[in-house]
Amino acid sequence: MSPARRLAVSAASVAVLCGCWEAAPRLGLAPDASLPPLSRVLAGTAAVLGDAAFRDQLAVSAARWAAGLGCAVLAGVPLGVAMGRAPLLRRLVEPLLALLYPVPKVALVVPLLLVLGQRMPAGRADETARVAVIALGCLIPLTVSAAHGAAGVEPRLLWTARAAGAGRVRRLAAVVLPAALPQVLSGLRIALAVSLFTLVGAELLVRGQGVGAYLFDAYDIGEYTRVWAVTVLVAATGLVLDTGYALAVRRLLPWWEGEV
Amino acid sequence: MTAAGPPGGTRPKLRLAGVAKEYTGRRRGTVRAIGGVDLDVRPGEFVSLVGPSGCGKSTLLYIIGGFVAASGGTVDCDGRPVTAPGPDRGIVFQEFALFPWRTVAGNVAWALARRGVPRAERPAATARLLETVGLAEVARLYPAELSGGMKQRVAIARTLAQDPDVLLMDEPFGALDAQTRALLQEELLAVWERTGKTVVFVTHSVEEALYLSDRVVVLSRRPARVLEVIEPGFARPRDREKVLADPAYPALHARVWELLRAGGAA
Ligand SMILES: Nc1ncnc2c1ncn2[C@@H]1O[C@H](COP(=O)(O)OP(=O)(O)OP(=O)(O)O)[C@@H](O)[C@H]1O
Ligand SMILES: [Mg+2]
Repeated sequence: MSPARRLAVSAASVAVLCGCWEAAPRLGLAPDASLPPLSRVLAGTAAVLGDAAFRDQLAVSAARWAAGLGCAVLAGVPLGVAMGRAPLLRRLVEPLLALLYPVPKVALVVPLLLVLGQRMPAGRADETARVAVIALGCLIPLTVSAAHGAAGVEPRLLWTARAAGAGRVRRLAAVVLPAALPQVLSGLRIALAVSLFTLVGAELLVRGQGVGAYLFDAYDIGEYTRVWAVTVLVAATGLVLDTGYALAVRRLLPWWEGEV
Repeated sequence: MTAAGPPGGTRPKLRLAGVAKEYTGRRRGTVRAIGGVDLDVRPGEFVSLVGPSGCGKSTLLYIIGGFVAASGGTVDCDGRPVTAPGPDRGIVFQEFALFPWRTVAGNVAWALARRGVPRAERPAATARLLETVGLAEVARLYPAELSGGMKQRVAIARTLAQDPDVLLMDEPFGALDAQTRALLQEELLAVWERTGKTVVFVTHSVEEALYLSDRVVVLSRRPARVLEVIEPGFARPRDREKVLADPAYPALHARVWELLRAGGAA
């Protein structure tokens, strides 16, 4: 399929969803007035984007998101690579990850607050808890895929490097890391999606500032169009991030034939 | 049967004594790949290994390379036991094992860098090596963009870049068309004659083994043992036409085939 055709097919599924959303409320198929037609929601989205108060909240959320995802990358990728190359470490850490896996990370925000609240002022405890929850959510996909990538390095590549005279450190930097990179980057793609929903989820649960809080405020005062407008914005951000990321990876890894 | 040692008692470049290998797999249990191989290889000698598919030829090269530990016996290189890979032994893997994230030139230049060739000299040296294997035009492509035969030639160039004393080659011309294959055989002989490297060469082609080698080691079915060592003895430098026309050639060819067919049904 040509790129244009692929894009058309993908756009078609979004278009069908949009059409249903527009039609359902107008035809009286929506349960009640809480679901406005899409056109009204989109107008609301434009209004939200024009709202200075929203942009302030967005900046807060973006900083939180970057902090959470950044910590997860800095911790998860090295941990995963180390696990991939050291079976003992893998055996030690894997059960912990398996335990953490099914726990909804957003739900951890409550026990985290209990613990952190004992040691820091409330505002900082809230902020730390939100960032920690985002980091925890992203940690698993990043660590697991980095571990798989590092463990799956074709042994003959390492043998070749060793015969050519490359020492341990160089083999790690020049063979293990590039060989694991595609998997690391596909873990990051999953983490990107996870980071968005944990961000908004944490902000809904522990209210303060941020896009999630803005959304909940709109709900509290019954502005349902604004609730939907922000939701659409979050979804669109996810789509743009994911698509942009996939394109960037294709440029970054010209040698990689597979999907990331 | 024991392989012939080097005449005159000069120290062998490689000495394999009772080399055996068992693989323990999860599904197949224990597999005896190599059943005890003795072989001495002289410095500068060209030795071919032929044997049925799956008899343990690649495994034997891995053991000489120091990539895989033998489960019995010893390998000495220059009188020192082989325990790990080293730059004195370069290998061309049957599966090429190119770095997919480096271009063709990048793969070759990387090996040059490991050998300590200064950065400024690497492009010219890389170009020369790629010229040798006939790949000058694809220097900037990635391995995924190459055919199997081209990948094989990059792997050869990269191993030559390492400039090892001992060249271990695992069916290096297996994926090539007849013409390229003939060309590269000649090129390999020229490099070998010029540099005096020791070559251990695995092949499925009896003709190739007889044309290239000082000695052809015929291995049995798995677990591999040395069935017989054949010395073609054709004059050097070799000429393919003369080798094929040599009155001794048909009998040698037939003998190797006979051994392979019988396979040493142990
Ligand atoms: N890592 C491994 N684990 C278990 N068994 C193995 C392993 N590698 C090879 N073997 C087995 O050892 C035997 C010898 O394999 P090897 O690759 O050395 O054969 P070969 O002579 O090179 O074959 P070919 O000519 O087809 O390349 C085979 O039976 C193979 O299944
Ligand atoms: Mg093999």
